[in-house]
Formats: sequence, C-alpha cells, structure tokens
Amino acid sequence: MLKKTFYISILGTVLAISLLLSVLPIPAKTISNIDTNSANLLFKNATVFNGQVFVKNTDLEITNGAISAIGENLESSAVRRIDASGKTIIPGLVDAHTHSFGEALPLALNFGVTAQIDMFTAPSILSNEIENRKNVTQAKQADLFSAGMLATNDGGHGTQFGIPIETLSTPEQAKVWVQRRIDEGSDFIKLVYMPYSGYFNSVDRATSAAIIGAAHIKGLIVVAHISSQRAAKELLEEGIDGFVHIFADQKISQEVLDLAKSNNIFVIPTLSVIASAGQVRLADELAEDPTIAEFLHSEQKQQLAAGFGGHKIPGFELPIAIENTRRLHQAGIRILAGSDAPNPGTSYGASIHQELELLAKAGLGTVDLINAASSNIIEAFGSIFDAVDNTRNRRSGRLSVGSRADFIVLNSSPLNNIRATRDIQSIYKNGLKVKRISNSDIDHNQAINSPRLSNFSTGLDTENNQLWSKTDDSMTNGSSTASIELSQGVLKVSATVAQGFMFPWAGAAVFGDNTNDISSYETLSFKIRGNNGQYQAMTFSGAQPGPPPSQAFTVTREWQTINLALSSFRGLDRTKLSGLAIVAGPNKGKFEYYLDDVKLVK
Amino acid sequence: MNSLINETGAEILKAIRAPEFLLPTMLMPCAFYSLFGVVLNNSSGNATYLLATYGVFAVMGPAIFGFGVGVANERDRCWLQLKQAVPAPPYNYVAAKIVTTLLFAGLALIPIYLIAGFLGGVELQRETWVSLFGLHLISVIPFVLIGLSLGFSLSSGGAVAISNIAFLGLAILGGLWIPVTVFPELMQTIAKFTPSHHLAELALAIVGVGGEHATSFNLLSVLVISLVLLVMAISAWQSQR
Repeated sequence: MLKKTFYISILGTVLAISLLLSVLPIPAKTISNIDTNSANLLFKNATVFNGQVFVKNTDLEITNGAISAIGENLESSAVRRIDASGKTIIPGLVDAHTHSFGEALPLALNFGVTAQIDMFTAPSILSNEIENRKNVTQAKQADLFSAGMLATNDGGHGTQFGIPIETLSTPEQAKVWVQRRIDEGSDFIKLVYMPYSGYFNSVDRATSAAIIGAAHIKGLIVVAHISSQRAAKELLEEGIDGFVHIFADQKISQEVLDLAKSNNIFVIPTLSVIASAGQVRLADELAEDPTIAEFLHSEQKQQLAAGFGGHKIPGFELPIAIENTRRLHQAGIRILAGSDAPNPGTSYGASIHQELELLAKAGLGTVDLINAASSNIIEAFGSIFDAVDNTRNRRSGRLSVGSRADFIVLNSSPLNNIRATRDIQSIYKNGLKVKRISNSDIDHNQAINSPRLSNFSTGLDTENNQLWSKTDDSMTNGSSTASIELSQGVLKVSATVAQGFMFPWAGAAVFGDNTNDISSYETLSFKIRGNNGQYQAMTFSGAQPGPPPSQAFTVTREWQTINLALSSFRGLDRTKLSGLAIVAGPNKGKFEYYLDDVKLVK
Repeated sequence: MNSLINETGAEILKAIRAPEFLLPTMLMPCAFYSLFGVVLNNSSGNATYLLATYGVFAVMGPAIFGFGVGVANERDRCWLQLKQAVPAPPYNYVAAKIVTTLLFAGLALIPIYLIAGFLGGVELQRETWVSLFGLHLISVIPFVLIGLSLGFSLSSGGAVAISNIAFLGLAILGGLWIPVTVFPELMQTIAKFTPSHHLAELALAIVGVGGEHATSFNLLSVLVISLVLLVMAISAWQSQR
C-alpha cells in the first residue's frame, strides 16, 4: 500500500512535469518564411555573373542547397523549372562591416545580403550564430561571421555604448586577450587604433603590435578601425591584415599606398557611414527609392533617418575617402563592400546597395563592385570560411558548381547601372527561396484621439486607450529597474539606473495596442520635478535594435514644464507613434521624480 | 531502501489525507502569481520576470512549513522518540520528508507554469523551461534546512509563528514579490544573506534578465548559505530535547 502510494505519486508527478515542460509555449520564429519546394530546381536562360563576366542564356541547376550545374541548354531532372530569361543572377551579397543587433540577420537577408562580417557585437550571441551558419537548409537569415568583442582600452572607441568590454592596455595582456576571443567564438580580431583622434583613448602601438602578433600565431586575421593616415601607416608597419574604414583626414600618400600593396592588405572603406558622419545625407535617397522603401521595416527607416549629431565630425571628408579608395583600387588593393550598419544613416541589408554605388564613384566597375560584395570578401577573410565550410556547399561568393546556392535574381542587368542590384526579383539562400517581407504586410496606424497623454488625477490610462507603466532596459538585457505609482494626482516614478546593455534607462512609459498618427502635432510637453540630473524623453515607432529617438533634458526639485519639438526626435516616424517614455538615464544612480500633464501641442 | 520507500509512501499518504495542511501553501503562490503576474500585469516582460521569482516563492511554502511546523508537531507528540526506537535508519525520517517535499514543490510549480505559459504569454526556449523548472525544484534545499532547524529547536506553537516570519521575510527580502532595489539600502544589504535573493537572481539569469550580481557569485552564495544552514540543522538535531 505504502509502496504503491510512493511509486504512483512519484511516477505521476514526474510524468505530469514532463508533459508540462514539453507543451509550454516557445517563442515563434521571426520574419522570413521559406518556400521548401525549391530544394531541386533549374533556372532557364538567365544571365549569370560568374565572377568575371555576365554570361547570357545560361541555365543554373540547384540541388540540396548547392549549385549542381551551370551551362547552356542543361539536361536536368530538376522538378521545378523557372524561366529566367531577361533576369540576371548574381551571388548573394556579403556586407563586410556590420554590428549585428536585434533582427540584423533576417533584415539583411530581406535585401539580398546572405552573410554579414560583424565588426563588434555582444560575444554572447556568437555560439548560437556559429551553429546557425552551419545550417545549409535555412533561408530565414543571413549567416554571421564576427570579431565578437573588440580590442580597445579604457575610454577607447567601443566603450561608449555601455556594453561591458574587456579592455587591455599593455602588450603583456595581448596573448591572454586573444585566447579569450578564440574561446568566445570570434572568427577574427578587430582592433581599434586611434591614438591621434583627440577624443578617444587608444591602445598604444606596442600593444597593437602584440595583439597582431598573438592573433597571427593563432592563425587569426586582424583588422583595424583607424581614422587617420598616420595610424594606418603605423599598423601597416606592424603587419595589419586589413582596415575596416578608409581614413578620410588626408589624401593617401605614395608611401602608405606602397606599404598597403606590399603587405597585400584589404580595405573596407565604408563610404556610406563616412558620408553620414561627414553630414552628407545620402540615406534619404535610399529610403525613398521605391525598390528599397517597399521592404524597409520601421526600425530600418529610423536607422536611415538618423544622423550623427548636428555637426560635421572632423576627419570625415567624403571626397577624400572616395579619392583614397580610388587610389587603393588603382594600386590593385582589394576593396571590400561594407556598410557599418546600423550606425546612423545606414541600415542592415539596404545600405550595401548604396555602398556599391559609392564605390562605383571611386572607380570600381560593375565586375569589381559585385566581387567587392561577394567573392573578394570570401577570399580576403578566407581562413574563417574554410574553418566552417565543408567541401560540399562551400562558400565561395561565386556562382560555381559545388558552391552554396546563395544568390539574387535581378530584374535588370547591373552591367551599366549598379543600382540594378536594388531591383530584386527573388533571393535564394541555401537554394531555398527567401520570402521577402514587405512593410505593407505589417504597418497600420490611426490618428491619435486626444493630445492629452496623461490623466493622473484619475488613473494610469489615457483618452487614447493607452496605459502608463514602468519601463526599463531589461528588454535589452539591462539591469535597471523602475516602479511607478499615482500619488496625489501625479505620477511618482522610482528608478534605479544600472550599468547594463547599451543605453541604460529606467522610468515611466505610455503605450497603447495600436500605433497613432501624431503628425499634426509639433511639440511634446510635460511637467516634471525630481532628483537633479539628466533625464531622457524617448519615442517609439517600431521595434528597434538601436537607441530609440530621444532628447535629453535636466530636472530640478521644482516643477517645470519641458517642451520638446517632435521634429528633434531624429528618426521618429510621426505617423506611427507606438509609445513614449520619460526616463532617468543614461547616467547611473537612483532617481525619484514626479510627472504630470503630458500632452502634445500643435 | 525498502524502508525509505515505505516511509516516503507514508509521508505522502499523510499529506494527501490532511490536505488542509499542504494545499494552502501550494495554492497561495499560484493565486499570487495569477494576480500580480497576469491579471495586474501591464508590461510584457513582467510575467516572465515574476515566473522566475514566484517559482522560488512556490517551493518555499512546502519546504519551510512542511519541515518547520511538521517536525515540531511530531516532536511535541514524541513521534520522533518513537522513530529513533524503531529498527530503521534514523535518516529515513528526514530523507522521506525531503522526497515528499520535492514532490509537492513540483506539484506546486505546475499550475504556476501553466498559468505563465498559457495565460501570461510567457514564451521560453524548451531548454530554458527545463532549466528554470530544475532550478526551482532544487531551490527547495536551503529552505528545507531552514525548516529543519526550526522544527528541531522550537515547540509546535513557536514553529508556526517563526515559520511564518521566516517565510514572509525571505519572500520579501529575496525580492520575490518586488525587486529588492526599491527597498532601503539596509534591507538590500540583508537581502544578500538570504538564499531566496540569490535563487531568484539565478532564476532571472536563466530567463535572460541579468540580476545585480554575477551568476557565479549567486551560485557561490547559495552554496555557502546552504552549508551554514546544514551545520545549523545538524546542531539543532543533536541538541534537541
């Protein structure tokens, strides 16, 4: 009897728990779906770019995710045949300079970028993505290759984002530091070397040399972020493998050109981001191009609309950058296409098409341009791809037999107009058709009912069917916390801002189920008092991997009315406001503040 | 082994026959979670955050009350003396109670997980669900030791009062209901010495909400606290009258 009780209860409970754990909901997959019918197919009569020329009337056969045959009038047993006459097929693009946060990889694929070379992201995502890129049956996201954490010192470039970084400052630390990156899954090493920038600290030359040496012993490539010719020259002398930006402070000297040539380096100019930092606004044109705009998600529109403050950053002269790129290219140095997305003015996937156009201005012809965004990147970073790709479905960045079937079908030929890469008929990843998601699938909005965004004398809800709640950076893995309560007709907010992921904040926010059109209003106004310090108003118009459009203001112990122009929230889509937040941050500390009378003013 | 199975079977039977004792301690966390995690929940991350902390809360009840009050009661009735006289290993008594507590802690967690997953909109990877459940289950250990210490050293009347204080105190200081960061500094400092605080942070780390401390620090703290509690429980056992 007792034994029976024992066994039945134990067994019953274990069974119940196992059943429970197997039925609990798991997160739904995001973005792209795949058309699984295309595992074996044949494109008929396409124009195929083979790395050197565009070959007309060519058939392309795909079997199990790899290119199985290329040629004229192919005999094939492929189940599906696609008439591709008039279409041009080019390799899937690679973006050689990104920072992959949030939905970066599916968003990139949505624009034909089938792999990203990431130049600094949270090391925690690497192990997952190393698994994902080995998967030769997925068509939902681009593959990621990454430097992981970057090499910089305290106060150096890269530390300003609030992501915890293992900095280093002496040559002795280099060996251990490099080994840690290898253990974390870094594919190569990214070094930040800007000793002459004036506004960032930098690792010194000896440490840089030690990092390069330690990485080379382990067979790793080392690339560097530099912003001046002087820094570039020093690293060339220390044996750097490539630069992830072109310097744009001075025209390149013959001496540096010769060094670059004899070291056989590669350069990723990232002209798109240099333009943006130099206040040359090109991203608006990209965002408005109908072939691009249809597929831009609201977070991408926001990234493209964003800018680097209001003034030109010294050392970012687009004409010099283009000229230097031209001279490097003429000298036979490998130029690779990279966007530096999602820096202000650039976005995942879309910006690589603009980068190609800028590189065309530096004298690269169409063949060079497409190779710069495909096979040349694979060759330049060679070892990192060799390490993960088996011989079948190998990654070559070319449309050749045995290569991974990552490619784009274009409606017109890019031969005479590189902009044709934007006019995509279809994208294939691992031989599977990518289901492109257009923004018309997702967006909806209505004009806001009432300009009053708070009603704290009666409650936390608003006349627009929105609700005030606490908000903090835990959604981006931060550790700040906040709590709110109604107190004598106003909102009392207690917030603790702690170091965490990128942009720490804690405070109060108002959100509704729907997005609202607030384009008829000019100003956000509210009353606030609290602990002295820096606060932020943040606006949300879509899911964002980066910082939401924000404005800072200061608070005192006395009530004051803050008025913020809506047009100054750079990147805010005023037709699709999903919510806004009034928070403490980004400085660490404890804050207590009172909020009232939040409204929109015409 | 045989006598342990019989002893455990008897413990389970006792709990089933007197449900007024265990049932409330099992259902209260579930009711609390439904209220604060689901009904009054207004931001999407809350249900997940609270699942992590309320899971720890859920296993505290059966552990502290089952041992604190249960053991004190049986000691008052001289049941323990009898136990020591029968020809069965003495640790069977404690082992059977631990197995029973794990069983009821597991049962107490089921409705909370069901509510979280199917009403609270909590979505986690399969392995995250499993590790969270595993952590919640082994969270029983330090609380069992607290219960044992209380049970061995207090009369049944005193055990009820003190268990309640320990239960509520550990829940509040552990930040199981509201994050400790909203408390005054002093309370935050005390919180660092409670197992509930560190277990809650470990649970939060599993669901991807990094806590104040490194995971290794939390793990070490739980280990040290459990060892201290073990020593306390053993000395309470030896010094019982």
